[in-house]
Amino acid sequence: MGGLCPSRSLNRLYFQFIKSLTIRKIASRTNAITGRMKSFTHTAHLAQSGNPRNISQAEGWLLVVQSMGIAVLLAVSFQSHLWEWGGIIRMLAQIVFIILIILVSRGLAKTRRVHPRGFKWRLTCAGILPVVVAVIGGWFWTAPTFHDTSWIITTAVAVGASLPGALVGLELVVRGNK
Amino acid sequence: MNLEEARIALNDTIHSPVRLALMAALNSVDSADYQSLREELGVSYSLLSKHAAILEQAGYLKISKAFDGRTPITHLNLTRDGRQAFQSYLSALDRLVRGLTT
Repeated sequence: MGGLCPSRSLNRLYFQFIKSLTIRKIASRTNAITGRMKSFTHTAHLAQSGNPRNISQAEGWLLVVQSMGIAVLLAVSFQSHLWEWGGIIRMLAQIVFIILIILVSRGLAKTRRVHPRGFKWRLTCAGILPVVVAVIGGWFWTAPTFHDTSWIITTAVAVGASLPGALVGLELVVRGNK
Repeated sequence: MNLEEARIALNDTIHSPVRLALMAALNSVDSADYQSLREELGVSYSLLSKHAAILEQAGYLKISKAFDGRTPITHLNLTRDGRQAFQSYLSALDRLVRGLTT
């Protein structure tokens, strides 16, 4: 009897081993089938979050420059009332900004290649923020003839408003290869 | 979806190799320029134009043109209908490759 116990346990081990192999085989087959079942739609979905080729780094830098221009224009607009030559400085800032926008627009048309998925949406969202800040900040800091808000705060708000646009541009620079 | 439905769901407009490649390329991005697509797909300008025009007529593709001096700069992007049609096409393919298995 004592000799049967090891054989029984060996048999049990053997059956468990076969059982686990069969389960693994079925599982791997099932995975393969379900993997194939999902492959086209799944791969297409994965491709949308991948890094496409031919993204233009130059376009990204131009977007960064544009955002910097927006930041400078907003910062000057928010504080120019308090400067002695504020009106003239603001006028010059507006002229320089318009020239900058024209040059950047031409550059963007030339350098634009492939836009990754979601780029248009991100750029639109990044563009809304400076407009909102221009309206709200303008109400408190541009429209009144005087305000006592520190230039550090108004400049921080201007930079913060244009930061998302710069980040969208930097995304192209990082992901780009052209 | 059974095999018959999947067969019927295969969209003839997308089902050409060049158009399928073009749809797949554009589905993975927001938009792409003509030059990049031509290089990646390995097709001539005329062939790409022809197939892009077919997809544009079907409402799957939007072609926008700008000019840098005299040089035309063309960008292509899929419309919402185009993306939906491509997803339906891929779902039909997924069903077809399963064959008679359930």
